[in-house]
Amino acid sequence: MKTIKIKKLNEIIYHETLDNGLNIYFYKTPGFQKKMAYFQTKYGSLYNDFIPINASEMKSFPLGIAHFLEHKLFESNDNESVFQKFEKNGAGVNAATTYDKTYYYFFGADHFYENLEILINMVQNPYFTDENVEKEKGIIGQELDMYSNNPSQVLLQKLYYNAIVNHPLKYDVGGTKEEVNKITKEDLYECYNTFYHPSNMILVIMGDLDEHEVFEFVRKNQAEKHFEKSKEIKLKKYEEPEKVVKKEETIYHNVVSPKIGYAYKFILPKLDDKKSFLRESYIQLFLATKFGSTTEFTEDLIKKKLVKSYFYYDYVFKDNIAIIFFAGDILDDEAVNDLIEEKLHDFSDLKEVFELYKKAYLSSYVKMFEVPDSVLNHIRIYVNRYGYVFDDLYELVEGISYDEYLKYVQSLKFNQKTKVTVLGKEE
Amino acid sequence: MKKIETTYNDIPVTIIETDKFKSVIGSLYFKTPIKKEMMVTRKMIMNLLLHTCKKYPQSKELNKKMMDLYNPSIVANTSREGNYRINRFAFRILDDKYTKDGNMLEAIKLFREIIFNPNVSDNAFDKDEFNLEYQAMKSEIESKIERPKNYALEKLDCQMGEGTPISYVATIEDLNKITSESLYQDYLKMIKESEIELILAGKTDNQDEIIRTVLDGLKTVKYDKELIISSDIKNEVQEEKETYDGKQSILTVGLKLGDISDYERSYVAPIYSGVLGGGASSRLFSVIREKNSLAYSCFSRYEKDDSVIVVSAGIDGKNYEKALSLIKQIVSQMSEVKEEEIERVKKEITSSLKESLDYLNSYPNYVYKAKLYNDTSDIYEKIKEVNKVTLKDITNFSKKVFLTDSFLLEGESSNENNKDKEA
Repeated sequence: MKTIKIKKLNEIIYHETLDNGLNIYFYKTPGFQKKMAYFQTKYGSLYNDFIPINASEMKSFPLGIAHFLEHKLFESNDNESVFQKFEKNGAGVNAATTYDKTYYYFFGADHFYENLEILINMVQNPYFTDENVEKEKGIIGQELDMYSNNPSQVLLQKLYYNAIVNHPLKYDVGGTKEEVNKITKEDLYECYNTFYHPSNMILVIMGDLDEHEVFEFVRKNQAEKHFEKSKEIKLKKYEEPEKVVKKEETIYHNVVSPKIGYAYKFILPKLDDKKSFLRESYIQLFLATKFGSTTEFTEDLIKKKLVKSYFYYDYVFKDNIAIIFFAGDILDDEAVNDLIEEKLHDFSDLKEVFELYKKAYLSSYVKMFEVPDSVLNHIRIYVNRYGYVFDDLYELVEGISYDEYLKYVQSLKFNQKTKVTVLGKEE
Repeated sequence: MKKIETTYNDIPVTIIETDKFKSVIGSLYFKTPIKKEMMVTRKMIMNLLLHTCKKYPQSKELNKKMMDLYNPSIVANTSREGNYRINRFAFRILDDKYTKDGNMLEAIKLFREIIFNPNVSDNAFDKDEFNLEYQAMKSEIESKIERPKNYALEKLDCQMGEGTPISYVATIEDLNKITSESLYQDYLKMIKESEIELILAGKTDNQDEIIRTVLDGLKTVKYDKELIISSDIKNEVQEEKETYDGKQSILTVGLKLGDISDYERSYVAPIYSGVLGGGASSRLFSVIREKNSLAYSCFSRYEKDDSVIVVSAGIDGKNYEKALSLIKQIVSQMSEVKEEEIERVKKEITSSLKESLDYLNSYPNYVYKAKLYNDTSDIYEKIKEVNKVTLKDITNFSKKVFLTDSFLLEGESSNENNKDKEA
């Protein structure tokens, strides 16, 4: 058991790698009632083409299979459902699939070790049958319908689809009904056996518990199980061109007033962990100083009647791709577009707010440590992305240099763009 | 965790002393008997106050000031609790040891500026600010259908709560009656004619100074109107439908509670609702989703102040009849509940009550809501009471639950299927 000391804040996270490769992180929370554990694999919707373990050929799986697998791991071969097992202990349980990870978690005040055992055993004992796979297709169909009911989500999804040529970031995490209907139990076992080996997983735990007991419990649980030796997972490599697929498209949905979204695409060079973290921070900072709460960009658009009532921006970074997007109930497409472009190429007023944003960022980092759930999320996201937890994040942000930042944002080329318009249904 | 009750200028103040956190949180509540138009006005007031103030009449300047004070969180929300409208303003500010000396008091002064010194001239909210907020509110009301789940629940509320505040929703008609002058008058009313209360949580050496800074010059009033709403129970089930352009259909079902005791309201009803539709082991989830694959989500929610339980399920429209009849059947079978089902829910409630002590936001809110019912018991006393509920209590209670309404927001996939069938 090792300790990761978060410099500046006197916070400690315990860490150990077991013989089977499983990485365990524990955050001790004296005085807190809630106990929680995440069991997470580095496997999400982006890993859809790979060489299955013990096979030799690259294989493509139906879109949405990582998410389908997440649903199916709740299946057990005894009479009591996993939900019932947790809920009998007063605990809540859930799971989620993202582009690059799938995680299962429980939370509750009591019966921690029982719950932990149920969680680990649930994820490590898959039970798929033709019948239970078929049953899930109806449920997931409803889940996909629920998402497709939300016009903002549909708009965003379409922007990705039209921005990206080859990379699977193009597709929704849940896949489509047609693809989901193709999934078989054999597919599920192949994906499971490839990505759910302990060496590809992490267990992240919090609670007012004894650290030695926590680690001993997991060690013992894992020692009782047999796993094959871990092998390297071979993923398909995607060549993603700089260009977008389509410059614009109009779609129809249940919207009261039209919505428009713009996405800018970037292909970025590979950098090491901290440099890549800094690069992301620069872009985040730049967008905030241009369009965030210290500007009145949105208010001005509304006052000038260029936007009806809302406008927002966001970004996503995956592998070597970055997408920056803007959306809202835009009334004057051309004018809004020009104003965004103008802002993106104007570097004159950045310095004033630079230090303020740093201050805000640092205080939000400190505040994170008074909500233990957020610390857990921080750990699992950083480990998934960078392979470890930064113990010097505070210093890293504090040390961001204005000149480096400015140099970087000035080098960004905003020349690959796609636009999607959502109109009300055609009569 | 120590709870201290005190007053300042007759305003009740609760101090929750704990050193689990790095921040101090304060929640200031304004409670007024509800009127329908407040569904619009009190929300607009809240948004206007948070956006700018007299001292920082531009939102960008206010936000820069906040960042300079290490970004304290200053938030607000507004909700209907039974027959009352509650406006809550809250701050969460890091202890000075993580920022700099004097930062906390300065941030609390800013909190006061935001609430009590709004961006007003000539007895009206700033016109530009008002227009922005008017636009936002208008768009929010007009685009309700873009959030089908909430829309369907709101329609159910209107149907089952007809003639009571349960049916109060924000409307364009109410919005169009408001001017920046009238809204300012309503703001003054909120400040002068509310039952005010402050809850402070965290650890600080200068509590008295914080309380004085927040409450100085304020006066509270006292209302004795009944909090709880109980509406008439019809004999027949009223089933309504509406179509829309979305894909998924949303089925909502309303259950009304008859003449129930205070004990049932506080302890039996939450367990009943938990067995019915709380979580994945609930009857609704296991029958509607797991056994019949009809829905991804299906749950029930208990509205204590409104004496109702609502059920919601996202379904394919073609399964409407089947889903509704299953829900009716599940409700009718609630008189026969098993010991293990209520044990499960008791444990869930126990766990979530304990966990509420871990959050700087949730515990003050828990304390406030309990006080609305003049309930001063602590969490552990409450847990004891929850665990005393028996099977017989649930059986007796089930006789006082009446399924009175259903509302279907019908999506397009059912229409397509109907067409297929015709062909």
